[in-house]
Amino acid sequence: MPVLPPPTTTPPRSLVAKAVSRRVRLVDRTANLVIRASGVGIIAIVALIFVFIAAETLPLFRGARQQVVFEQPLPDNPAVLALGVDEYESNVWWLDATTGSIRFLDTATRQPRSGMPLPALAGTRATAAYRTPTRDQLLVGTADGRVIFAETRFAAVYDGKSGRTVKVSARQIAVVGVAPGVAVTAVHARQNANGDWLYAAATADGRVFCGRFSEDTPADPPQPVGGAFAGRINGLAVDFEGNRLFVATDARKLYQYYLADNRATPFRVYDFPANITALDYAIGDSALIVGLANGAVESWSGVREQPTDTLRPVHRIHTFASLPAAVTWIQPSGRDRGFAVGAADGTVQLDFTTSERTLLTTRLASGVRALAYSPKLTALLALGTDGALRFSAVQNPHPDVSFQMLFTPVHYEGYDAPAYVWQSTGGSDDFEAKFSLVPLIVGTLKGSFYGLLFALPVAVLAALYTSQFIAPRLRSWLKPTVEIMAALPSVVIGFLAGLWLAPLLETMMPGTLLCVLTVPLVIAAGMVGWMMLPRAARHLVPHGCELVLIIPLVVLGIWLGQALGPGAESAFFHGDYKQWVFEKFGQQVEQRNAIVIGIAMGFAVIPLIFTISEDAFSNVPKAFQSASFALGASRWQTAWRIILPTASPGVFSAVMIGFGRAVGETMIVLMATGNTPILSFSPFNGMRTLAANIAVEIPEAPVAGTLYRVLFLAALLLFALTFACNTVAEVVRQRLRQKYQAV
Amino acid sequence: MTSPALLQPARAPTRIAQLFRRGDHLLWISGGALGLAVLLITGLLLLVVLNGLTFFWPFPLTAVDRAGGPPLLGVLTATQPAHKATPAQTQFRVGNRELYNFDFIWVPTAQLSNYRAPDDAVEVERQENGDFLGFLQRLEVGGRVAATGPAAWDQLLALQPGARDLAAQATTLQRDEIGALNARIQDAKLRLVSAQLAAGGLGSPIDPALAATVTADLAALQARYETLRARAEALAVESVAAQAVFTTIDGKEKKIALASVVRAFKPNAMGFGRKIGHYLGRAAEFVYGEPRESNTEGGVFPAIFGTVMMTLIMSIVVTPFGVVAAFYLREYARQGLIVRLVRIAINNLAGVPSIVFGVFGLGFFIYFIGGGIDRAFFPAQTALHVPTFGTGGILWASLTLALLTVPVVIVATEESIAAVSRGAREGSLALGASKFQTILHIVLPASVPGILTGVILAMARGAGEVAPLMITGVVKLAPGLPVDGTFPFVHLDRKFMHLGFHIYDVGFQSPNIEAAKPMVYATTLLLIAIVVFLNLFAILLRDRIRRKYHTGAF
Repeated sequence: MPVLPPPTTTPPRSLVAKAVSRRVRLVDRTANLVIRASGVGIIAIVALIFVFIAAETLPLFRGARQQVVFEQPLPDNPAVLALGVDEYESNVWWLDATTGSIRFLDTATRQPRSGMPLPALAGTRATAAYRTPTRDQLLVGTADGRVIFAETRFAAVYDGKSGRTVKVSARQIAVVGVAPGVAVTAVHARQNANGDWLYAAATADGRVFCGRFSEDTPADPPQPVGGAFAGRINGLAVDFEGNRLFVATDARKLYQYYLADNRATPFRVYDFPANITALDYAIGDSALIVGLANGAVESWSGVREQPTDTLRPVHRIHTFASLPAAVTWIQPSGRDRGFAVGAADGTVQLDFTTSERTLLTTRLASGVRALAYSPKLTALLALGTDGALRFSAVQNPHPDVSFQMLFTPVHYEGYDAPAYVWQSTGGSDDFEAKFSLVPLIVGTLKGSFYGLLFALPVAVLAALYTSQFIAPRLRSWLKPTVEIMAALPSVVIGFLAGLWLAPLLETMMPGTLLCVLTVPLVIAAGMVGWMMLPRAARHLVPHGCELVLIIPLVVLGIWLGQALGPGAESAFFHGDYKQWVFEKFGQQVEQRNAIVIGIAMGFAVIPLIFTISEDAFSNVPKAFQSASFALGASRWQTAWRIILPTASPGVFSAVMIGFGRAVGETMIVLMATGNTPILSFSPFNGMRTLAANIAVEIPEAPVAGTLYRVLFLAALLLFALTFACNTVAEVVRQRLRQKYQAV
Repeated sequence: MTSPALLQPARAPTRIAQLFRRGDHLLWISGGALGLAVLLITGLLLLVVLNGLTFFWPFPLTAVDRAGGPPLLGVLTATQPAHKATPAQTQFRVGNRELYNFDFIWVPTAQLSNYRAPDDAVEVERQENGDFLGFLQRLEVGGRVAATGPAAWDQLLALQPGARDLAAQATTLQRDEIGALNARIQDAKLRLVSAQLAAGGLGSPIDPALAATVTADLAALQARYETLRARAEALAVESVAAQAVFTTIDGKEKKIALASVVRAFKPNAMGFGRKIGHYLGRAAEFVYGEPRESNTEGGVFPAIFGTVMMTLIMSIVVTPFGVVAAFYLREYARQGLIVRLVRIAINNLAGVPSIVFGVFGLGFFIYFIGGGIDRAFFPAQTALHVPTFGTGGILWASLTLALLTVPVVIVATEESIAAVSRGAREGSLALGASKFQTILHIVLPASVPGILTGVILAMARGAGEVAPLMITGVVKLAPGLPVDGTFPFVHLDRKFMHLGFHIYDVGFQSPNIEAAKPMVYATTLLLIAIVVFLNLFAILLRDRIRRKYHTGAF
């Protein structure tokens, strides 16, 4: 070793080393910190996905919140017959029977504003009134047997300096005589899309009148509705067609009329366990909400008892949480199927028809005299019999979803029986949203089932063959081919399945089903034929390369199946399998059906199952195989009875992962099915899966709306399902690996 | 002992029976499963390649007489044998959408006679309404006949580039200059709104001086806009001066402005070389051109651009994060139950449906982060309900896909870190290198090929993924590329086009699916080519690394 001369000009080594090591240590420590922080951060983001999606769904199951803004007595202790608030929530108004005027209260200053007397009430008294929930239209019945049509108006004026001011006014539109000299005791009205009023009025002498009123044409007097009513009339409800009329009397009876059909006699009369003390239609005028003297609140809707019925009797379809005392007021919302009910003991409850949820319960100090919703449903007015008005801000974002609604059958309006339905949006404002996830879950499972039905045998057998019977050189070519198959974008598979395979399969269905038989038979026959050949000929194909013989046999088998298809169709299906399926199972054969999905989904899943199970088969210790051969088992016997059972946990995990992939597959399902959310396991029609449903509907869903959150819930379900499948698969696979290591 | 004569007939069945007893038929059938899988994949690729590659070929035009109807001129596209009650049928692509209301027609083969291939049959690719098939009669310039007969064809070929050029100028003017002007008008309006917001809210009174400047600006811009529009209109009028008059085979006359003729050719008169040239020209247009006719014709350049750019942004994001996470898991985190659970979770994340990531991207990136950015930095736009980042865009789509593909990178990186030999690592530490120095100089270089494999696989996965993009920023037709000449040049907030979505949209949402199908095959071929190329590259790289580690003993 050469001796170096001692350094003369450089500083002492220890100092350099110290400086360098300090820097190095600093860098090292910083790196340590940064990498740890980012590593943990990334893992946190992964966790965030689950947490975020779950958090987005939580508000669905929360109830409503209310905050009392003010509570004060109305001025002059009025006899209130109708109560309302404008869409800006700037003014509360009410019809005061004592003074015969519409009066206003400014919600900001809490001071009364000047009222507007209804001219027609001069010299008489208002005895009944009804405010339509969708628009601020008012129908007033008088003691001298007339009805007054009136409306309130609120015009917002914007001003750069002081912001918004709301101008209030009320207008009497017309007066129509009903029964001269007899007091009107109950009124109900609707306005149809043309602006025509359909109204009903009951008089003190027990008669009911129904009419139509249009502002442009001279008013006809309302026509009487026939039949003698048992008891005093408690309430009326007429629909926006002026056809369906309900009359409730204090003899615990409800009379149902179809006026266009028979004006003289009721269509049905229903008996109730207690008096109906309040009734009104929910939005859409299809479901009737009734409140009873015993506190029960129910929703009744038309149900066909015979499939041929054109007129529908009503059945109870929803029951809501009972109130502790007689129901005094039912206030339907003008926007959704929610309603507020008030009871004689002051209980106020917010309910929702479809979901049967009670979202809020509060109490007034005295019994409820009147209730009103603001048009945007953000304010609730409750007036007690003591004259105190409570104005509360309400947050009720998702009343329309409940756990039962998502997962159990629900009786929707217009349906004859409870059903699982997904129909999130409809044409009109009064559409009843139907959020049952069950058809989507069934669709998801159906798609995965048919996919696995095709993929499982093909992939597992192919993997077994690849791992056991094939020459290594051929294998090194096959595995990348299958990996490429795994990498094919699903949009490509979906496109070919939807536009190429589906029309093709439609005409070739019997032949294709026949292939399940012909392909194995042709291969077996081919095997026998090959084995019968002289040994010299058989040596032309090297050991482990029989695949080159088998592939033509598969082609031959498929051809044979297709060639025999039309024959089989005329022999077994009377020449038209579609007709046959329709007659036999009453089902239309759709072009884009579950068989197409099965093949396309199978295509996507085969490479996954193949790769993982091939791994599992190849990892079975060679000693097992040798021992089996030594005992005289054939190659197939060894593979089937030794390798397959030993590797079965691996195959199981492959199936789980394949299932997970099939469950979440979006594009294939979107493109190769009709996307109809039906509840059916038939192979001849399509489906809509959770994933495809999200892709179709979320771009149109308003942010933070109910549909948006329900779709997040669907995503959460998918996440949980696939995560569970994959975890089980992973754990099984790790166990298996440990077991083999022990061998 | 039995006699050989008795044994003989029994021998053959026994041998077959023995084969079956040994299960050889099942063995072969399991081979059949593998064969089926191989057939499926090759069949699919073949189907796409054949359909995709023939899309650009100029097929001969067939004229044919039809019993009980006018004669037909078209490309023979398919035949169908008799099936049950329906007789054998032949399908023609007859074009002339605005005259016939359909592009394709099925005719019973028995009705057809006198097949011929007229040399002077012309196929015209048009800017609108698809192809026109017919015969050239004359050429008119400014309403007067300029040429008839064969001379008209030469004139058409001579005048068409000039007319196209004029039309292109008009479009450029419309899109680029007027587009830029519109952006400036929008800017001026936003300045007003910003001032109002600063003064206390929408509609608040603002400094009159500022209001006056902005109003003057707006007026000037508006005037400039009018001049530009007038110029564009003049150009458009000038470009349609030259018109070619055609007749269809059933005698209907049709005038087509040369400006709307993308390409006119006589397929029956073309030699093989010319056909090749035509093929390459159309293939080039497909790759470099702009889409026409709501994407069903023309090129897919914006979709290619969008796909590539999105994939690049995704890999730029996913690589550092994936690598750092992998190093943390392998080198820094204390190995134990928790790290094992995290590893399983990350593995499983790769199996979570892509649409779930899309939902997360929509809720988190777009509405939560993007909406937050908008409220913080773009108050004027927010007040006008014009979201900037609070709506789908290429950045959010890329980030969503980065999240989707991060497990791929983490797993690949971890694998390659684990493969770095213990000796190299310990040697470095023994020489006094710190942990980070060892990682930076020994472990990282050795694992680069593995990381690269992971990134390429992630890119392949990302390029082919469509479902999450559909809800995070892909559109059918984007008005502009995410990169262009207006400041700040790269627009990460823009919506973009994507090849995969193009397939879904054109194949399933376009009004004329039958006519669009060949185009979709071509797009599919392009997408498959990109994805397969990336995958093959990754597979080769991975094999090379594996071999290197096999031989490179320490």
